[in-house]
Amino acid sequence: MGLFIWMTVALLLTLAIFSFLFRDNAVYKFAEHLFVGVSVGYSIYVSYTTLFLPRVWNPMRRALGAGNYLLAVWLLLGIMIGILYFSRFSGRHAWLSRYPICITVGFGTGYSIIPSLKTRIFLQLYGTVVDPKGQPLLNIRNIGVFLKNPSFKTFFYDALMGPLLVIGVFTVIVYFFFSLKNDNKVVKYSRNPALLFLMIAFGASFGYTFMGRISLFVGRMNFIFQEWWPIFKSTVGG
Amino acid sequence: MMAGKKWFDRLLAIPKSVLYFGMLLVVVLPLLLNMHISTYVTDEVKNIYDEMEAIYRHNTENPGDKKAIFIAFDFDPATMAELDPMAFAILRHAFLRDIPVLGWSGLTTGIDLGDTDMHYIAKDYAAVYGEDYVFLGYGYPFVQAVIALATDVKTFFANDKAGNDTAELPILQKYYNFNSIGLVYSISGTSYPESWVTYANGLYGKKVAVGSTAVSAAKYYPFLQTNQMIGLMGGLKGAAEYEQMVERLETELSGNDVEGYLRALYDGRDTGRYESRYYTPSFSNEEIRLSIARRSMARKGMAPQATAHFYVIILIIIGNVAYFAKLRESKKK
Repeated sequence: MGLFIWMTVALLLTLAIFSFLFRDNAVYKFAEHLFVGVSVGYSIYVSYTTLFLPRVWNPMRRALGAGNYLLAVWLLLGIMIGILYFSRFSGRHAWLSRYPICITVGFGTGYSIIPSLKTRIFLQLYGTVVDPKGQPLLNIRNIGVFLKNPSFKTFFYDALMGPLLVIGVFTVIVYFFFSLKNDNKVVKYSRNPALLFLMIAFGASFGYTFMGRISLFVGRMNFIFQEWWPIFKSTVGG
Repeated sequence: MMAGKKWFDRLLAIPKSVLYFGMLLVVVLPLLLNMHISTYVTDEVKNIYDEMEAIYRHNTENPGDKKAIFIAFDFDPATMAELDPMAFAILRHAFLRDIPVLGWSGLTTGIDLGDTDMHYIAKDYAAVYGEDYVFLGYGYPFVQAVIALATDVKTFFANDKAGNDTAELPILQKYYNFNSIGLVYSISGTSYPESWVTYANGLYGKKVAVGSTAVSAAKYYPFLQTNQMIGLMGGLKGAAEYEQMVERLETELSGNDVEGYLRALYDGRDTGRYESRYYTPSFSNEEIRLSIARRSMARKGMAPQATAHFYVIILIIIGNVAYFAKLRESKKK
């Protein structure tokens, strides 16, 4: 019975959220505020029970109990620095919050700078001119292979894909770097192809987005008709 | 009022509520009719499956040097409709092939989801918590958690989600850092997969596979092209592909009779090994129904996907025809 009651609450909240499709209303507002409130409350509880208690408070108590005062002071120092974040609430003392921010940002930036450069710049640049097999993407020989053995694969995947990728990246970069009025022929004639590449990319992204939104709707309908309804039938039908 | 209106005016003025009701029908009817759609398998999804099979072969050939997989359940209830089927499918594959699984969540709202998903699927294969799988809890702050995973994850998680001392869990005696992890699988609707690529792959050279919401999938293709990600399950379609391959494997290993298999699973086993706080080692009728339903969640969702897409394509065509007809009419005037 408990499961049925909670599932019915979930069903009613789902319907309350969908009621927005007709117009903004009090039931929708209630569900929206409840969602935000529960999410924040839950996050605070989880942060307290899974971060603060096991990683700070309990180790500090254990350290004090075992006479390991150095570790206890070390943990206390962390708490004190963390508490400085709350100085943002006071206009006079807000500058103190810069210390924990400095430590967090300094560590994060220092640690991520090398892997980020490698992952997001160097390897991506490499991937723009070399295919996963190590062959250049602008490979004229692939056109020769297609002419000798014409097929969809040798044309589309081998001969066309690589050059399209290189040209696409080049034209789009030119489009964004020289978006001001420019009479240079390269800039002028690359605009339309660049727009075409951008539209294809946005189209692919939008197609995926539509699929994602429908998936969420399917998920809720699945919940109502495949999970709630059988339990409703068995509960009401005894 | 409507009598004087042309056909294109009427089409362009269809109320939103009618269109929404149409969408409701095209989504609900395939679900009620229990329609299933088989899908073709794309390379990016097949690569993940092949990598899991490679880990299985490695584990079979090197029983003393087995590899585990690591799953980051970085998603919350808002995206679980798309991402839960991916989590179920990969967990099913791992437990079918006896591959140890370590997991955590990088989101507060994902902790219970990841934990529950692991227990649900572990129960279907009689996997033992602490020996075959473990859920560590909240992997936050992310960078520090990944650094711990590169050295010894037990230093970061003194206790797992269930409160067990991680130093005493048998699974974490063997699999506690990247050296014993064959694949990192990030399931997320956020930008966490990029962070996994940056650190786990970029810094520690681990193979990373991603299960993402359809909205995020397009931006991960550049990482696939450079082999920084070995595979990608994009949205419900990606989940459906993987689910289909795992079902084929399961049928090959355990046969077609899923209900019979589940009913007999714990017969003759030492049920004392299974603690009730993770799951009870028996199935009620309702649990069997849900377990069978979970095996085809994504494919079931693909039927309404297809009808919804057709519906929208038809609406786009109708809208365009009406728009151009109106344009022609106004030019004539």
